Amino acid sequence: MNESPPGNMSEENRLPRYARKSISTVSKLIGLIVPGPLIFHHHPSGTSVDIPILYNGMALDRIHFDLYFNRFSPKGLPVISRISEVDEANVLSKVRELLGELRVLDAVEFRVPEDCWVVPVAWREFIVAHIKVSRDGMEVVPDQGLTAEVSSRIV
Amino acid sequence: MYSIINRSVLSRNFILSISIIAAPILLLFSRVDPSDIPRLLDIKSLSTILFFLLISRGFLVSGLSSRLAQWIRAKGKARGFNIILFYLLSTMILSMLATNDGAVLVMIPVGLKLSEITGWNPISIIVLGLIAANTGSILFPFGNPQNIIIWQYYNLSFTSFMRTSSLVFVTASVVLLLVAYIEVGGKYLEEKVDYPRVQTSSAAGYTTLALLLTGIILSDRGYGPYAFLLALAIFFIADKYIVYSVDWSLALLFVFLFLDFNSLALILSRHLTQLLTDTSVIYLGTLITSQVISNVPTTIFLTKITHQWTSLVVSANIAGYLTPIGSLANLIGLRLTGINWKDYLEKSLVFSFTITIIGYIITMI
Repeated sequence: MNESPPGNMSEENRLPRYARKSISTVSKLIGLIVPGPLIFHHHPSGTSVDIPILYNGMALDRIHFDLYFNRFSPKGLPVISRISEVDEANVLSKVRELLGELRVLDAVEFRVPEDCWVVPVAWREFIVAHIKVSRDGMEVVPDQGLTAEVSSRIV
Repeated sequence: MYSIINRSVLSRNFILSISIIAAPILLLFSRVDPSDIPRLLDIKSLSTILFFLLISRGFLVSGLSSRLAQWIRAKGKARGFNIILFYLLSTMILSMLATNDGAVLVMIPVGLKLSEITGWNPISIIVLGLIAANTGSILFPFGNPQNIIIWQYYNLSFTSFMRTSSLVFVTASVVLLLVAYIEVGGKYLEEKVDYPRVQTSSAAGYTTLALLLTGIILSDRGYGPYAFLLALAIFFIADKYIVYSVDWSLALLFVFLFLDFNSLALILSRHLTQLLTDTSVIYLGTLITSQVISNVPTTIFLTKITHQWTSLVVSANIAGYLTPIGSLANLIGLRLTGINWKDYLEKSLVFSFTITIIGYIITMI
C-alpha cells in the first residue's frame, strides 16, 4: 500500500532533518561563544563556580568550572571548593582557552514543554552544556533568565 | 560557611562603599540645607539615566540587539575593507539605539570571529569595535549617561544638543574609519561566516521600542521621572527579566555619584567658577579628570560649575576614548575578551591623539 502519511506523520518524517539542522546550527555558533562573568554559588561546605556561555550577547547555558583543576566539570556535577580567593581574569583566561576545545555531539533530544531540541556540547569526556534550538532547527533559543542574570553582573 | 573572594566584585563594591561613605562627609562640608538634598540628587537626570538603562536591557534581553546585529550583517555580505566597515558601522548603529555597552556585548564577539577568519590582529579589531561603540553613543542625547546629564541639566532641546554632538560624531567616525583603513585595510578577504539566528521575544521587543519612543518624548519635555516609572511598571508586567537584568547596584552607585559630586561642586564652585570660564581649561580638565574618576562623575561635577555645555559635550565624550576607565563600554569589552590596558592604550593611541587634537579645535570654534 502506498498511502501518504497523515499531517502529523509528515512532521515526524521531517524530524531527522530538523534534528540534523539543529546540530548544524550549534556547530556554526560554537566558535562564536564567549564567556560571561563568573557566577558563584555558596554552599555550607564551600563555593562552586559556573561560567555562562554567551552568543550574540545572549546567554545559552552555564558550564560548571572546577577551581581545583582549572577545568570544566560535567553537567550536573558542580565542584564545591574551599579555595578562599579567585582571580576572575585568570579563570576567564583559562575558560577562553577551554572553550576552543568544545565540540558538538552528533545526536539530540527533544523537550516537549519548551518545544525545542537540546544539543549536547562536550569538552573532552564530559558533556558540559546543553544548547537549545527551535523545533525547525534554525534558531538558537537563549536562556532568558540567565541572560538577565549575566546582564546584571557584566560590569 | 566558606565563600570565595572575587577581586572584580570587590573592586566594584569598593567604589560603591567609598561613594556611600563620602556622601555624608561631603554633604556636611558643603553646608547644604537638608531640604536641598533632593535637588543635589538631580532626580531628572538620574531617572532619565535609569530609564535608558532599562531600555538598553530591554534591547538585550528581548533579543532586539541580537536581531538588529543579524539584520545588519545580512545586509553587509562584504569583501575586503567592507567587512571591517560593516562591522564598525553596525556597532555604531547598535550603540545609538541600545547604548554603547549593549553594542559591545553583541558585537565584540563578532569582531573576535572576524579576526579569526580574516587573520587580522584581534586586539586591533576589538579596540576599533570599542571605539565604534563609544562613537555611536555620542550622536543622540540619550546615547550615554554623560549626554543624558548634559541634555537634562541644561534643559537642551534634542536639536540644539545634536548640533554639537553630530559634529563630534561625524569627526570621530571619519577618524575611526581612516585609522581602521590604515590598520587593517588593503587585505582582500571575504567574510564567509554563517551566523545562526537567535530566537527573540517579539512582545518584549515591541514593548521596548514603544517605551523608547515614549521615553524620548517625555524626557525631552523634562518628564524623565515619569518615563522611568512607566518603563519600570510596564516591564515588570510584560517581562520581569528585563527589570532583573538591570544592575541595580550600578543604579545605586549613580545615586551616590550625584550626591557626592554635586556636593563637591558646591564646596569648590567658589574657587573654580572663575577658572572654568576658559574653554580650553574645561576641555583639558575634563579629559584629565575623566581618566581618574571616569567621565560620568566628571560631567556631574562640571555641569554645576560651568555654563559651557558645548565644551562639555565634546570633552566628556572624547574622554571616553582615552583609557579603559574613560568609559564603561571599554571595561566591559576588556572583560569579555581578556585584552589588557596596555594593549588597549597602544592600539587606540593614534585615534585618541588625533581626536583629542580635533576635539580641541572644535571647542575653540
